[in-house]
Amino acid sequence: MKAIAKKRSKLGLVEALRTCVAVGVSLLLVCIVVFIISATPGAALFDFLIGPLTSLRRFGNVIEACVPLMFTGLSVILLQRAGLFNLAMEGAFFIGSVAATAFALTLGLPDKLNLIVALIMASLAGAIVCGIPALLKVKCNANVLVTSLMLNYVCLYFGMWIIVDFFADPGMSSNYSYAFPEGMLLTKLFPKTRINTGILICAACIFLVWLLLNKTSFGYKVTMVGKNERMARYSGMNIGQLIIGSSLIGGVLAGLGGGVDLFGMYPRFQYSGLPGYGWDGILIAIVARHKAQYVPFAALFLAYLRIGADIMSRNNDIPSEMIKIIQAIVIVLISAQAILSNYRRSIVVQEAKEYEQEV
Amino acid sequence: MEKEILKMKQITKIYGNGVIANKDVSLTVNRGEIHALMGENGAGKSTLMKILFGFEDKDSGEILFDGQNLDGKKPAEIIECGIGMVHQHFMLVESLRVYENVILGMEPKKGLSTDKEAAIKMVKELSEKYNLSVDPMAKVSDISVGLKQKVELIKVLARNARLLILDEPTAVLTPQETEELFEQLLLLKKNGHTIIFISHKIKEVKQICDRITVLRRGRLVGTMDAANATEEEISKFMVGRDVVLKMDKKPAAFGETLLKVENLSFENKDKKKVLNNVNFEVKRGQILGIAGVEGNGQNELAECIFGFHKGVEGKVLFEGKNLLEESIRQIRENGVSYIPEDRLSTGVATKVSIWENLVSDRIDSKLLRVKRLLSQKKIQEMSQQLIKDYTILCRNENQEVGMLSGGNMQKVVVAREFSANPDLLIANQPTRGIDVGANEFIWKRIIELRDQGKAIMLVSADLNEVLELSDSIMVMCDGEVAGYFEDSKEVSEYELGLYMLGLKKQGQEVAAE
Amino acid sequence: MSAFLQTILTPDFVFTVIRVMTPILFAALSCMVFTKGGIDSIGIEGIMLICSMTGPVFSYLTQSAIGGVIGAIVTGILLAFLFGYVTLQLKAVEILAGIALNTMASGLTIFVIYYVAGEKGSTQSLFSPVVPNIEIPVLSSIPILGDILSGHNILTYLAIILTFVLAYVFYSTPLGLRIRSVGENAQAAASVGINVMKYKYITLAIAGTLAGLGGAFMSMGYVSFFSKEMIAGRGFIGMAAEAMGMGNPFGIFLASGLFGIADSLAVRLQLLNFPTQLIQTIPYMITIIAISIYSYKRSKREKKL
Repeated sequence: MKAIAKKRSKLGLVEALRTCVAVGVSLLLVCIVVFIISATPGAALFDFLIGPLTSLRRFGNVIEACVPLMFTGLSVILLQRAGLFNLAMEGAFFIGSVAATAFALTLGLPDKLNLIVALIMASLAGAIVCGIPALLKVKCNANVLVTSLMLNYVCLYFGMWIIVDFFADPGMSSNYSYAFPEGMLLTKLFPKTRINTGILICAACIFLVWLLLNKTSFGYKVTMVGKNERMARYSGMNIGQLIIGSSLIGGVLAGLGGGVDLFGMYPRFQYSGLPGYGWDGILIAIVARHKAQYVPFAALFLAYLRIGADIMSRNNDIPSEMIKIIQAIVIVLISAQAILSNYRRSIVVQEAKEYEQEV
Repeated sequence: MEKEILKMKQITKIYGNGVIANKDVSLTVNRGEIHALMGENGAGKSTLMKILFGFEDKDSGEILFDGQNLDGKKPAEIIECGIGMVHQHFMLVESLRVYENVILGMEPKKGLSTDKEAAIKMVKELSEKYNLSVDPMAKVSDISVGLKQKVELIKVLARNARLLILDEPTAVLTPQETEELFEQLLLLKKNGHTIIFISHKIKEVKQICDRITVLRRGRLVGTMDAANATEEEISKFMVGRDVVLKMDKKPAAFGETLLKVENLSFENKDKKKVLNNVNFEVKRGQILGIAGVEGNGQNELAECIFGFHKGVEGKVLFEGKNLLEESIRQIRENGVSYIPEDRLSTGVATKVSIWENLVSDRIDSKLLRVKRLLSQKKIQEMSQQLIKDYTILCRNENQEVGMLSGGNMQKVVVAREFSANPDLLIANQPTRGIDVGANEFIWKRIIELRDQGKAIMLVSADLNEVLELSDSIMVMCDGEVAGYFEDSKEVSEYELGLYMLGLKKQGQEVAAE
Repeated sequence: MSAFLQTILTPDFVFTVIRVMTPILFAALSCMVFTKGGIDSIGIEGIMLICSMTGPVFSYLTQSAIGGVIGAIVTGILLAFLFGYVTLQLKAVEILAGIALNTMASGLTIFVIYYVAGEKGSTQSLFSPVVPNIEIPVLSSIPILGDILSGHNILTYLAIILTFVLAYVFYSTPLGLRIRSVGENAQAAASVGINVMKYKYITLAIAGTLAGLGGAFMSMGYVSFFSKEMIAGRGFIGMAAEAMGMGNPFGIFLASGLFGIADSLAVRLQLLNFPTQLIQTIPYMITIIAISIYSYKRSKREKKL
């Protein structure tokens, strides 16, 4: 009895295995495809798999690319926590950048203070964006998926209006804003790379999200709403508040991500469309199995693949867009319940038997 | 032609988990009769009908319909043979029109199109012939429950069913609608149709049925002529007590009144009045058993008191506060606990761990925190203690609740609700579908709680449970209080059956005392 | 103000609206079919994108516009079936599978044209026949009306015809009735002997065809080549138009028209120094508000019942 109580269930392993199988299968497919279509498969695969490790600058690129992915990954974890498909993180990330730009260029505060205020404003803007679909769900029972998708376009055009009509640099193309003051950009941490203090903000956010989800009753409650809304209500929870609350926090993370990415990587606002990091966040959340502590690994996985693919496409005849196909396969394989379901069931049965014998 | 249209012989069905749903059940239905199939919930009526329709495989037995063996036939083929069923939960597509629902799957065609005129004409003819007046063009989502049932009947008749099965057709109907339905059923009978009428309302069965077959605990009790059987006899057959468990308890010592329900009325979303002017009290040290055949408002009564519903009329006074004006959280904070009827959808979240299920009502409590953050250690200690105290058989507190047996899952619910240390416990079907060991354990705990001077409101469809546990008994029938017995010993199980089945009713002044 | 009116009160403007709304109408009709069959339609964006790539490619390979359109339709059907397999058989979450399809589409299209056309951005270098515009006899000679309604792309006319065809199929044929019942209450459909899986795949085939046509229009009518990300959210807009049209083909037609008007207006007003982008937000805002009001009313009604 004691021994078995200590033994951990293998079911967690099945889920981990599912992730590994998905990642493995997709990488294997890449290899096959590369071998079939590339004239130089060996070199291509070397660049893809090892390339990012071959120079400090390249590895720096991987780390830089992680930052926005981690922010949107965290955002998705919170947005989906209460069981809804709120896709507004895409718009929130973008609006975060816009708000950051607007406040950076208008407030005229001392640089560092201005930076902080701009980042706070970016977070607030993100919160408003993600809060709207949640509010409409709670108050009107409107389909979150459709309203959030539409809201992303409102964000895009509204944001573009702000930039083009108020902050566009006449010397550049129309969607480029004036350059930010040097001192407002996030400090670079390592020479030869663009890795900056943004990654520290991100690390703090990961810790805070972990804390929120695992160490506060708010995190616990939101999780329960997502798992069984009826049971949560019966336990005395206020479902509407929790849905809106988790969406607002998800929005803060996406908006802050937009601001941090902007001040960390660019001298001025220069997006010409929605950057797509929100959609990437969905993959990050799935690979991280919706746990904040795994988000860095998931982001590292995707960022590494992206930089590897970039290097591969520069030196070889394989387009880097191949990565998107991998992303798709990973999402499907991890979310497909039928895959490994027999294995899962056999473990359940076996553990039940083991348990009966020992008791 | 044979006299019998349907012969089900020696049907046995044992489910994978060992539950015997039907054991050697035989049912013979004569051509042109209305045959009642009676029995309490879980008596095996639905399983028998599912077997007839081919939704479930039988383990042994034989089914003959009009001399034809129905073995191995798919549901669609059985419909073609001339058997039709009106399910208790209607099988209608809400956004479609009435005629579209009727012709679904057997659409008359004119070229490529549906022959709408022919379809509407068919519906009109059927509704005239059988006096089932519905507007073929109405949208199903816009019509009343009674009309929906008529649509289901027309659907079945349009498929030329000679044998119609109606699963508790009156459960959702108002008395007027029920009367109307009966006239239609008699008309159907006159036209040569055979009807199996599943019900547990004796009066209705006596009113329109020719013969009655009673099931109990998956076994056949007997078949009798409705004309010869008295209501008392039928109730004796139906509401038998199968004593599996006995419970000794100290004599009750009632204290002050804790819960006072005044003029409680509630209309559900189908606009049916499921609770009508209910009055009662629960005192400290009292287990009040609420008996009744399922679907007579007991469940709604419990849910209304615990704040599940909006728009409830009347008052629920608990220590001077009206619970109807409070949120579930406030109700819990006042010291009320609730064991829900359906543990899988309400009682637990199956996909998360035991500990997460144990703390769902008290996650804001200071006892689980260190410096304002949740302490995994404290939660773990509390969970392990509860698992031990309530003998929940599991690997450890991190196990997924969905992997526990029904009894252990219910113990998780019981552990949470009891350990909240409530002054009033509402236990809604606390031992449904669980093993005897867990059952006995939960009973003991309920009695312990009473002996500590707490008040308990026990809702149960299991008569044995009500009689063994309760100090006082209130019987509900049709959303009203049919009878109240301050001392449970002063009422016999047979008499209780009469109240449950609506054959007897105390005056309002008695119930409201 | 008069400059504004002068801009929009022209046959030319209405002509543009019809042209611009065509892909949105295809998308919205496809979403309508998905929704009626009870399948989530978020993958429409990706299906359209891939089809807008396969259209010109097949057109180039067969050197015929018909070949291209058929290629796009077949791709649409196959992708819809792939989506069906992943969600119905492998039991993947529909929304996630749709998002995966969209992600795959944006990579796959670039990947394929890189090998077929030798460049990443577009298929401009391939000579691929396009679907022609046609002048309608008699109609084209009527002043104003002729300018508005004649001279459109064949696929534009097809989209309008299909609106009526789908209205007929869904509301007047057994097929439509069965698809609607399977989508809304599969259990009820199964209880009268309807094969649910069969009708799910029929739904997917029809929806895939429509998405394929929408994709083909983009690269073989709207412009004459594929360029990357050329669907640019039109699939999602189709979802919104479907929601706004409340599932009714003619409502969907009007909603698509609204998006067409807003899009065309934005282009025109740009010339007049209006804040273009702000005008572009209008259709999306209207959608959000309309869906919210509609949902609010419905939930009120359900509570009352």
